[in-house]
Amino acid sequence: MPKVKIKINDVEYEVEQGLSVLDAAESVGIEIPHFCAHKYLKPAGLCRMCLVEIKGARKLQTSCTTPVKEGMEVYTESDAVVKARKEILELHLANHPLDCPECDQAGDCLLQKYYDKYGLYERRFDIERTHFEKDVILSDNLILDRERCILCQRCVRFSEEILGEKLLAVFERGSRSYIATYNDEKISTLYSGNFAEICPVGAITDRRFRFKIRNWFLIKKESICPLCERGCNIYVETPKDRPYLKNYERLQRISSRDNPEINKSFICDRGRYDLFSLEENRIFKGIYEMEEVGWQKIKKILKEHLFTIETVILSSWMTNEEIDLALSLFKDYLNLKNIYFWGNPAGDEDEILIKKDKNPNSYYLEHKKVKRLNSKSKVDFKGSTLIFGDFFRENEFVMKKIEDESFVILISPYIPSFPEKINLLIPSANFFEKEGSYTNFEGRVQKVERIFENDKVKTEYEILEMIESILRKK
Amino acid sequence: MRGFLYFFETIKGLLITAKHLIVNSFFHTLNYIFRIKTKRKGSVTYQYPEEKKPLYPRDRTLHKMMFRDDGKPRCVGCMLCVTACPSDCIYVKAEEVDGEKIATTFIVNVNRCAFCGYCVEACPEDAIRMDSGKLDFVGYSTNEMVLNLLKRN
Repeated sequence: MPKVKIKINDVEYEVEQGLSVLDAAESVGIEIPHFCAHKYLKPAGLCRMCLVEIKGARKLQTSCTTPVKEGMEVYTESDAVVKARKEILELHLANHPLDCPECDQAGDCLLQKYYDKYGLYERRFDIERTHFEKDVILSDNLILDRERCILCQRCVRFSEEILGEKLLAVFERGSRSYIATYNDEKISTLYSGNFAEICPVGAITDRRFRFKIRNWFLIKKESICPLCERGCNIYVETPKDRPYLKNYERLQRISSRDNPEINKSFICDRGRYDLFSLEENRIFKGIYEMEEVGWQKIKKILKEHLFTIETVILSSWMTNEEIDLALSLFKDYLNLKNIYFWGNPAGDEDEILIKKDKNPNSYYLEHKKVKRLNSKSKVDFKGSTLIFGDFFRENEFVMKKIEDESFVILISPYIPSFPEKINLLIPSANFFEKEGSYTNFEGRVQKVERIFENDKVKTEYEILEMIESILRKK
Repeated sequence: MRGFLYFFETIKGLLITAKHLIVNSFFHTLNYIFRIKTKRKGSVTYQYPEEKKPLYPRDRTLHKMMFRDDGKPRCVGCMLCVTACPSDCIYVKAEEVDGEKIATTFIVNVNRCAFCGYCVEACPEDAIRMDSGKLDFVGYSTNEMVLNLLKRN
């Protein structure tokens, strides 16, 4: 990209050509307040908050719609700009209800953030605020408060530009204008959670997060979404480590993390809401022949049965490191031939984010030439079987193939649906409790942090290390 | 030499005590027996469990939750008191009741509380107050000092 030289606040910078002044300033670390401008949406110039002074221009210019030019001189904090910001904030707040104590957006709210810096603090209007409906239900996940809306139209533009269908629009005019869906229909899209996230104020909020906890008590931890092979970047939000915050659930909210090459700053509703199901039906104790056993006993039982294993079924929810260790043990050291992998069955796909394969790491297993099992594959399982993974809750196919006499070891974080078939169940850590890397459908390797600590269970890597120590000792 | 100084100071102390005794009982007699009102009160002993010392309006005593006319707590669960609390002793949980955000759990752990009054100052709804006048709260275990403020007595 060709570069141009511009001056921002009397300092010269070199920025890419074609950028808007707002993006150019952001690329060099200068923040210009804005509501309607969004990194992945086209500029609209609606909120008038991003006004800057440009030398030579007669009036203040909206920085989101003005492209940079060679030799441009921009002032972002001059007296005229700050005065304009104060006046525009005053107009935005003329009808704003100021119910921040009840608003879920408080803490993340841009209006709060800018008013803290540029506020006038005294209301000069003596007319009553315009009143609108305060809880309009937009869909199962969304609720709209029209009084809080500042009409930045981010939601309208998101549905038009990213989803490609008109779901919302601004109705009426002037001070009476409001956001609504056509014919008051409910929004039915797989990307509805993004409307709440994209809203700069608390107008559209998440019904599943409604009134649960204030967002300044949450820590955002980086992770990826394991529900399809795209591997969207997400934040897992969990309460801070303070005494009474431990009474709240450890998983509070999933939000999107910006990655321009994978998911931009959007995630689908499956990632946003269905990940909560990973926390249910957990098992924390080992089970041997329908009786609870501890880790010492598990090791003892493994010692007896590990050398009779003939079939290993890996899981496509294992990390790259776990797969490498498992393959080095079972393929290279034990020379087993029957190594397969299995994952959630394929589902729907679309052009925006959702991919067909509903597992995070199938690419890596296929790359390592492990055979994939599906309901049509003709395989026979002989001898003892070692199974990794949790998706056997839905899978009758594999269970039917296993002979009744053979010894079955299942390593799973969840309660199995066929407990009578399993001889030894080893509890393992779920997706949030392990760290490692995943390879997405393009071959992009992404790191996952350990988000929650759990002393009761071991990760699959630790269990594999235990197996390794047993195998190599003999 | 040192012993002598100590003796001298003892007598000085006894004289101060005697002075207070005589002056206080003089005014006490004037006030309570002859009913003559003087500016000075004399004896200031309170017969504690029966008679309590009057509190000043700004004294901080045990926490109290304010309720609306319809019986709902004033607390909307904004958790500003939790944010302001330096000793992490408040636990609030809110739910949607009739389209409104209302606190359904409000627990104050008095074991941890330092009575700084920041929660009262932070509250935008005037829901939590420290003017209940209770200073003599006791219990047999620390669990009894964890108060549920939404329970009305």
